[in-house]
Amino acid sequence: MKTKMKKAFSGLLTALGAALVVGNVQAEPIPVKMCAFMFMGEGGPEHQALMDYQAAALNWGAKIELKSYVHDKIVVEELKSGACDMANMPSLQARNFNKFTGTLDAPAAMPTYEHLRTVMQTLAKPSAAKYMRNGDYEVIGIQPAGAVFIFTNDNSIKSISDLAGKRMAVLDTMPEMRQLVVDLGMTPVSSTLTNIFQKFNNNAIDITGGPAIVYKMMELDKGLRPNGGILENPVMQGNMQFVARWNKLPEGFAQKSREFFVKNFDQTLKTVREAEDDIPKDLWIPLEGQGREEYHTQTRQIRLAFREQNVYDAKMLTLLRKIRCNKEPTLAECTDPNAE
Amino acid sequence: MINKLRLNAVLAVLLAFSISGCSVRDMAASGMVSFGNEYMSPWFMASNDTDIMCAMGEGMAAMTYPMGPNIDPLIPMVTLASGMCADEKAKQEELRFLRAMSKNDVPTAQDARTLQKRWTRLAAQRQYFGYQAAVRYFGEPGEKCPAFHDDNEEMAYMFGMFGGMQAVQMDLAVGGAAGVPLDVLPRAMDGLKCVESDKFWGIPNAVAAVVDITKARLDDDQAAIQLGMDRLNLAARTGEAEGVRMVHLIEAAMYMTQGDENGIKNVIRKHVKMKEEYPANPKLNLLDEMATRGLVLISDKLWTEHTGQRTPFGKFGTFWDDQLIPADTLDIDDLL
Repeated sequence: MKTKMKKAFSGLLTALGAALVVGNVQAEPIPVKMCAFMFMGEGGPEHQALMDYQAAALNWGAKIELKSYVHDKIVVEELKSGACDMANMPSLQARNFNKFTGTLDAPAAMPTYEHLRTVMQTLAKPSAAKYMRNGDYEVIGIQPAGAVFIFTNDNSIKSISDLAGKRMAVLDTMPEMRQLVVDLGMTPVSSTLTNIFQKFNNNAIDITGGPAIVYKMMELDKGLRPNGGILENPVMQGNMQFVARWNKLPEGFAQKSREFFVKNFDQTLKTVREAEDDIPKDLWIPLEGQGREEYHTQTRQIRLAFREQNVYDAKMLTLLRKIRCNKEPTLAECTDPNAE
Repeated sequence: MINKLRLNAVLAVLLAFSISGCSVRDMAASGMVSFGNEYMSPWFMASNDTDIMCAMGEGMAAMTYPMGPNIDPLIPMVTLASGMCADEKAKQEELRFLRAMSKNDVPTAQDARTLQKRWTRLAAQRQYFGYQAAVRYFGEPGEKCPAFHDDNEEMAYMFGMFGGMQAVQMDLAVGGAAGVPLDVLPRAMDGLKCVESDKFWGIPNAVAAVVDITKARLDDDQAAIQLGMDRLNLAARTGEAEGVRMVHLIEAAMYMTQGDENGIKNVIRKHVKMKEEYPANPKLNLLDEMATRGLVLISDKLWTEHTGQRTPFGKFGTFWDDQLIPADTLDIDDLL
């Protein structure tokens, strides 16, 4: 009887010991402060997606504490000042931390979502990790935000040169946008973030850019009808990038985080792709023949000009060109001796 | 002879129905709407049991929806209730998510998110159904305002439009799983402008003010933010004067979107104090209680984020970090 009790007792001790050992193995997660850019506010769709990210991040050893912001520029400042350890921001702002990934929004660089998928997958492979880190910062995730299209009230536009003379809204907060509009021969019209589409609907501007989601949400039919349309070729692939101070993260976190966004690629794009399918077929303006060639040439010129100005990263432009040529080897740029 | 007369009468009634296009279903629906407006709605609005409202919203669906187009004016009220039910379940799951996260329990946190999404999708579908009923009955919003026959119709329209706005927001939160078209948002906002705000406790003006404030914040336009805040305060006072403080819920939801914890706390404190000092309008207890219920949920979220538990019983209107002993309390050393 005594032996039995002794055995049971020692068994219990072993079990307790094992539990303690297991408990010790699972270290406490590292707290990480995130400045979260949420255009639609706390509790909105971006926040909801971040809750899933928070839960996944716990598995990778970090406990993310979110603080919400509605202005991306402030998010950048907060990350730089050290007020937060990580932040999410549009590609344009991510360029402040990593020119390579910050070039992903180069015009017409990824004509379809399949191009985008290949790029995302390539960048999420461990072999690409070396390009993700720059100084104190590392890009730990790229989230697709949908293709950006050109909406016009004149469907006779068949190429970029046809845009000359048209009025286009520019944000006062983005001087580089004004420059690009002027360079393309268009007339910039000063606007705020929230009145651009209203201006388009009231005919105060002729051209505007945006993801397909704005077509219904902002009732752009009012500005598009009767003679307008949407250029079928997206002008760029919008994306949000998660940038962190890498020394604030647990070992292996960055790689797992990058893979997380690739895994959720289709789910993330569901709303925008459905919005694209919802646009009436007659509104899409296809670019064909000479117009298409011209579009390729002109967008390429813009990319090269920005490369010369040290805005875009040459390596990323090469990668994007190679992926375009991989999917469509007959493109003129694929045999060009001065290819990107 | 009598039989022949009876037969003629029946035939005449049938003929009248066939000429006017009335069916038994239509008649039942019209009867239901007038019974609803005359008896159900007043009883219901005076009740302060919001759980009955939730159960009614779900239970009445099968009784009313098959009645065809004539029942449409009653549907937005039913879906507002059933949508609220599903939304509340989603919010309870969010609390479970927060508690699991604080304990580093990933499987429970992810499971809670899954259920939160399922309930949110259902809430969006229900609210959208109510919006669609309002559109069928009153016409597409945005072009011109409907001519309301009475206040019941105007209220149904307001609930329908409000539900439409909520449906889009909820659907976006679940990545479009409920399939609510995005243009419902601007249309419902246009429709809401047709409802006389002062008659409906300031709700339409409060929604419009929140939209303006949100836009002004994105543009960083301080003057426009202040103007919106003034309009929101005015709308709140309309409801406060009538003992229907639904605008408090709209105010707290706005502060929540802005991540302004102090703003939320102040609205909740204001609401609790007012409820103590001025009871709800006895004919409209339910709406005031709905606002309170929504505010309790918001309070629960804050409490859970900070302490891991909901607002403790009897502590609604207070917060975990309230100063228990005022700074100007006498010091024992000065007394002895």
